[in-house]
Amino acid sequence: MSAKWSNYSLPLRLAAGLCIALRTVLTAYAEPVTLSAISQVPSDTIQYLLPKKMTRDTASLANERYRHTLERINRFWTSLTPNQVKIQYAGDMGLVSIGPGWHYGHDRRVWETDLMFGYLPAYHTHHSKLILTLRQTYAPFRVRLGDNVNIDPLATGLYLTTIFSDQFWAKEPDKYPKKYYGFSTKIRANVFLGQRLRYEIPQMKRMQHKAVIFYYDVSTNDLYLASCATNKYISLWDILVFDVGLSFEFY
Amino acid sequence: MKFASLQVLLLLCLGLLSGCDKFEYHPYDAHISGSQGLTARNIEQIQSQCAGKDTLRVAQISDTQRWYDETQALVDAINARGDVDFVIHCGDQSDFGLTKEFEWQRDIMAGFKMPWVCIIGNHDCLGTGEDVYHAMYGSDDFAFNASFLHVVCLNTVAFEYDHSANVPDFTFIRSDRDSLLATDSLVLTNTIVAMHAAPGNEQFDNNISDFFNYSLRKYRGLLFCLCGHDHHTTTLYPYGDDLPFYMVASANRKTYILYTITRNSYEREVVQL
Repeated sequence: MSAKWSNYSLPLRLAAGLCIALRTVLTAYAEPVTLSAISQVPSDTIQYLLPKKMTRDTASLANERYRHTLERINRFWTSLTPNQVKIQYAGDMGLVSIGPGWHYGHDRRVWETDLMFGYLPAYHTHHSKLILTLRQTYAPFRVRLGDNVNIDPLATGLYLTTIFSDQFWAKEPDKYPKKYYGFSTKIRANVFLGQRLRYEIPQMKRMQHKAVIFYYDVSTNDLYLASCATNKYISLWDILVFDVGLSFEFY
Repeated sequence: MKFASLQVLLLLCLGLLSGCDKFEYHPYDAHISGSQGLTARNIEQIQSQCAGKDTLRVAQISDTQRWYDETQALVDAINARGDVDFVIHCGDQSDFGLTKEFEWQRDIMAGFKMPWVCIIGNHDCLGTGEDVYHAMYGSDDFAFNASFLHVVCLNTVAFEYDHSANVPDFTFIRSDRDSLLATDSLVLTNTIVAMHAAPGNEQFDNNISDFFNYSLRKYRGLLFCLCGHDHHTTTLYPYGDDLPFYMVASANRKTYILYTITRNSYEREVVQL
């Protein structure tokens, strides 16, 4: 069982690691967060800007080099904190999926990485299932509609889903001759195109979020594409999957 | 107040969306749209439409997985003959076990002007495919009577079950044979048996092959067996030359086999479009 699990999780872990690394690099280059103003303020103020754990020893913050190190560490971990949460209906990720995400890059939101946890009811099977999705989005364009409203006319990307149930395998079990089926029932790759409507909450009205985004996507997966490509009977419309969702940006 | 009305609107929208099958939850979600329980419905039609006939014409197709255009061509060709009483699909209608694949194949075969039954194949067991098969068609072992002919359809893809299920199910075979004891042996004279994987195949549980032979031969007037799986048209004799297993090619070869069956005899015609 443990050997099986490591088979399933390795590609997903690698992908997650890659995305987080990519995000860190992109964030660092695209928009370095500067806390340079902090070095100007007295050390007893800094303890409010740095996490409590780091600043218990207030006197040591007078040491500028040490303080900069703490700031750098703080900056690094802050950059890894999710800054948005999405809730989505449908889209091959479950009936409803929810999960943290990161927006980053130019304009702080050209790129998005989301980790979604989806719930799939049992329907005609014996039990409901959990679906885990890693989703990468690229939305290069903005159209301003008003003071606080704009539209992203094109969002595109891909996502990998993995479904948790003993009915599925990522790699064919050893009992089969090599390439007996030649695909994974557990891992699906989807490509998507979509659009979003973003509402930026006026500064004084913000309670938890900076902005709310409504989005929809049209997607399809690898196995549907394989079915469509080899048959006239299956049209492009037959293999399209829709989803709608809300994204809440914290900052 | 404003927030509450927004919530109501949102719920209303979700309600509308969930009615649209374009909002799919997962390719293996087993969330079936359209007709279900098809085996029972088709068996009922076969039993009523074939009652009293002296000659039966049965078409055999198999392995239609991901060959939708070709399956459609086979349906059209079998319909065009106008003389086929019912069709037996020997399994593997899906390639990946996806819920949509079952729906697409079902919608094509719904075009048959005569009743049709589908047996479960190994590809149909992938992912949640087996659950979808059960909901859409029914039990994977079933039998019915068409006038003088008893037709037995069996799940034989034991390789997919790791000995965790009775495949083939001898309890079913015995109780089916027992139910025949109550019928008139002058009216119900013959039997044919259909399955996906024939004995000797890697999918078959070959350890019980001899007992399978013994169990089948106890059927009244056993004529022949039908199978698929190996994607070509051939005749196998795993138990001697008095019991042929007729295999039909996969749908990409656009082949079906027509059996014209009368009491204690039959003719076999391979038709390639």
